[in-house]
Amino acid sequence: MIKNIVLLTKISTRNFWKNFNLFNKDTKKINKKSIYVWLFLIVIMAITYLSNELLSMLEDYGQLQIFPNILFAIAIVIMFIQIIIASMNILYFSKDIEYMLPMPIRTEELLLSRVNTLINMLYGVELLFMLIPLILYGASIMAPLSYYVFVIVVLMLLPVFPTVLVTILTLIIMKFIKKIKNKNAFQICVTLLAILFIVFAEVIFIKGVTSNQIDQELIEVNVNHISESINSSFIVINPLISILNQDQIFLNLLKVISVYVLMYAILIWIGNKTYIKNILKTTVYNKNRHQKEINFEKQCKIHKPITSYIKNEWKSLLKNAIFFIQTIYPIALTMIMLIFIAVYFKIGAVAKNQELSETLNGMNLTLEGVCIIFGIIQVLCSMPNISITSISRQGKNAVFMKYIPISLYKQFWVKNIPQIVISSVISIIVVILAKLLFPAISIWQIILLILTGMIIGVVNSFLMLIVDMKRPILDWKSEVDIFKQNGNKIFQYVWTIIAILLLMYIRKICENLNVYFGILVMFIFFAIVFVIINVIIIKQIKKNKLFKNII
Amino acid sequence: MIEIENVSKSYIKGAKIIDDLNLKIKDGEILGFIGPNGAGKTTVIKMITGILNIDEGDILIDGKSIQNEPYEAKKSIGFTPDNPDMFLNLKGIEYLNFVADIYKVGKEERIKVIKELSKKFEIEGALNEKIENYSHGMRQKIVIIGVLLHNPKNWILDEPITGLDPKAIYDLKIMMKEHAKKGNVVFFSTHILEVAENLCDRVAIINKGKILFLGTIEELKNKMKENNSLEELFMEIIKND
Repeated sequence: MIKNIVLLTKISTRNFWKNFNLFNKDTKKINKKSIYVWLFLIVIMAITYLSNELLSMLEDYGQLQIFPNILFAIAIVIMFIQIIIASMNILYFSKDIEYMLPMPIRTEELLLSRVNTLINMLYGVELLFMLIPLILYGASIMAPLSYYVFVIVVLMLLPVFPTVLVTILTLIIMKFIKKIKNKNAFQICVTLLAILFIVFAEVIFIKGVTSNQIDQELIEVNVNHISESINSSFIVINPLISILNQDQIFLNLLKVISVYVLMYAILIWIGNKTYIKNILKTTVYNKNRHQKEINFEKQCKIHKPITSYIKNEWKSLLKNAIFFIQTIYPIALTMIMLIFIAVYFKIGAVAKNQELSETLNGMNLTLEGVCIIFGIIQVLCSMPNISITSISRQGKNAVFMKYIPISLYKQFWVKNIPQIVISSVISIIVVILAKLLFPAISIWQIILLILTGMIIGVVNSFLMLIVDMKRPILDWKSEVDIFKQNGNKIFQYVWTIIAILLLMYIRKICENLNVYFGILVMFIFFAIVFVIINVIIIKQIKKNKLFKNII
Repeated sequence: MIEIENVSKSYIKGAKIIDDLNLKIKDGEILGFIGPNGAGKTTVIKMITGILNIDEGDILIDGKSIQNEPYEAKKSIGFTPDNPDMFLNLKGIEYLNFVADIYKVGKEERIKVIKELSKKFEIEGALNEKIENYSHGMRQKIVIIGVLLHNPKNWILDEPITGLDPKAIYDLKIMMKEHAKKGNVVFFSTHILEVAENLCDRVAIINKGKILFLGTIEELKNKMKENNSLEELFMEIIKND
C-alpha cells in the first residue's frame, strides 16, 4: 500500500513541479531561462525585505518574540486559501483521475496520494513565505543550531493540518451532493463557500479577542492578539510555535502527532466510504443529459455585433470555473477583505480610540498619500490577469477574431472591457475606503482620484492585452496552464513597478504644487500614455503586426 | 468569386511555403484543394480568410481585397475551421445566436436556419447543452450550422469531413452541392480523395506551395493518359513533382 501511495504521489508531484521548469532537463542545473526562477527570486527578495522591516519594528517595541505568531497566522491563512482553491481540482476534477479509476488502486491509496500532492504544493508556499523569515528571526534572537533543525521539523508538519482538514471537509460536502449538473458552477460555489467559511470563522475569532482589549492596548500590540487568536483557532499551530521556541518539545510534538493520527484516521474512514463514489458523481455528470426544448423566440434575441461580443467575453470569464477562479475570484476576495478590514478598523479601533480618531480626522490628503492610493490601485489592477490572458484563454480558436467581419481595433477595445470594468470598481472602492479612513479628503479630490485611478487601470489593461497579443499561449492542454505557466506575467510585475516609480517621480516634480494640481498632472500623464498606446495600436493593426501571432 | 493573385508566403525568410500561387474559383463552383501534409493547403485557406498576412500578391473575395478591405471581404466569407472546439462554455443555441449577431442575421432567418439544419444534423435536442459536452462530430455540426447562418457567398472549409459520421458526411456533401447550385463558391481542403472525386467541379492539387494541377477529374485523367482512380493519379502527380 505505501509503495503505491509513494508511486502515485511521485507522479503527481513531479508533474506539479515540472510545470515550473526550475531545473534544466539536460544539465540538471537551475534553469536561468525559466521565468519562475526569477519570480521566486523576486518574491524571496521582497519577503526578506518585509521580514527585516517587521523584525526591526518589533524589536523597537520589544515584541520580537511575537514574530513567529504573526508569521504563522499569515501563512496558515494563505495555506488555507491555496488548498481550498486547489483541493477540488486535485481531488475530483484532475484529468488523470479518470485514467486511474480502472487501475487496481485502493481508495485510500488514491486519496492519500492526492493529499500528499496537496501537501507538497504547500511546501512550495512555505519555501517562499516562511523559510527565510524564520531564518532571519533565528538570526535576530541569536538562536542555537538546534532551532534551525526544529524549523525544518515544524515546516514539514505544518501543511498537513490545513490539507487534511480541508480534504475531510471536501469529502463531507461531496457526500451530501447527489448529482453534479454543472461542474463549473459547482467548483465555483464550493470554493466560494469554503473561503467564506474560513473568513467568517477568522472574523468571529478576531472580533472576540480584540474587542475586549482595544481600549487598553496600542494597535501594534493588538497584532499579537489577532495572530494569537488565529493560531489558537487551529489547534496544532501553537504547539508547533512552541516546538520552534524549544518549549516542552516532546510534549508539543506528541500533541501535534496525536492530532494528526486522529485526523488521518477520520480521513481514511470517511475516504473509504465516500471518495470513489464522489469521484463517480463528477465523471458521469455530462452523461445525464436532459433534452430541454428550445424556446426560439426567447433564446434567439437580436443584439448588435459588439454587444454580443462583449456579452460573450463576460460569459467566457464567468462560465468557466478555472477562468473565474483565476481572474475575478482572487480580486473579489481581496476587495471584500479590504472593505472588511477598513470598516472594522473604522467602527472598531478608530471609534473606540479618541486620539487615533482625531489624528485620522485631521489628516489632509498629501501627494504622498495620493501616491500610496494609486500604488494600491495599480497593484490591485495587476491581480485579475484578465487582459493578459484575454487571447490565450481562447486557445486555438483565437483565430475566430481574425476572420469575422468586425474591425480588429474594435475587437481590441472590447477585449479590454472586462479588465477595465474590474479596474474601475477597484479604483472606486479604494478611493471610498480612503475617504472612510481619512474623512478630510474632499469630494473633488475623490472625483479626481477615481478618474485618475481609472485611467491607470485602463493603461494597465491596454498594455497587458498588447503583451498577450504579441505572446499568446494558444496551445494549452488545460485551462490552468494559461495562468500557471504564463511567463507573460513578468510584464505585469515589471509594469506595476514602473508605474509606481513613475508616480513617485511625478510626486517629486510636483512637490511644491497644490495636491489638486498634483493629481491633475498624474491624470494628464497617464492620459497621454493612453493616447500614445492607442496610436501605436492603430499603426500596428494597419501594418498587420499586432494580431500577427494569433494563427 | 475568390481570386488568388500571385500570392507568396514564407514563415522563414527565403523559404517560401507558398510560391507565386494563382487560382480563381468561380461562382457556383465546388473546388477541392488536395495535397499531402505540409503542402500549404491550410496556409492558403488562412490567407483567404484573413487569419494569415500575405507577403506578396493579393486575394480578392467578390472583388474586395482581403488585405485592403478586410471588413467587406469577410462579410461574404463563411469559414469552417478544422478544429471545431469553439466556445465550449456556451450552449449550442448561445453559440449560434452569437454568430448570428456577429453576421447581423435577422431573427426570423436565424430561427429558420437553426431549426432546419439542426434537424437535418439531428442535434436539435442538444442545442440547449453546453458545447463542451458535445462529441467531436456534434461540434463539427454546430460550427457548420453557425457558418451557414448568414448564407455566405463564399464557403471555405478546412478538412470538413474529419470526425463526421457517414450520414453527416452525406448531408454535408448535399449541402455543399446545394450551396454551390445557388451560385455560391464552395472551396474546401481534404485528404479524402474519394470525396473530392464525387463532389468537386474542379480540383487543385498542391504540393510544396505550388499548384501542380488545376482542372476537372476528366482533364486530370486525360492529362495522365490513364484511366486510374483519383488516388492513383494524385500519387502519380506528387511522385513526379
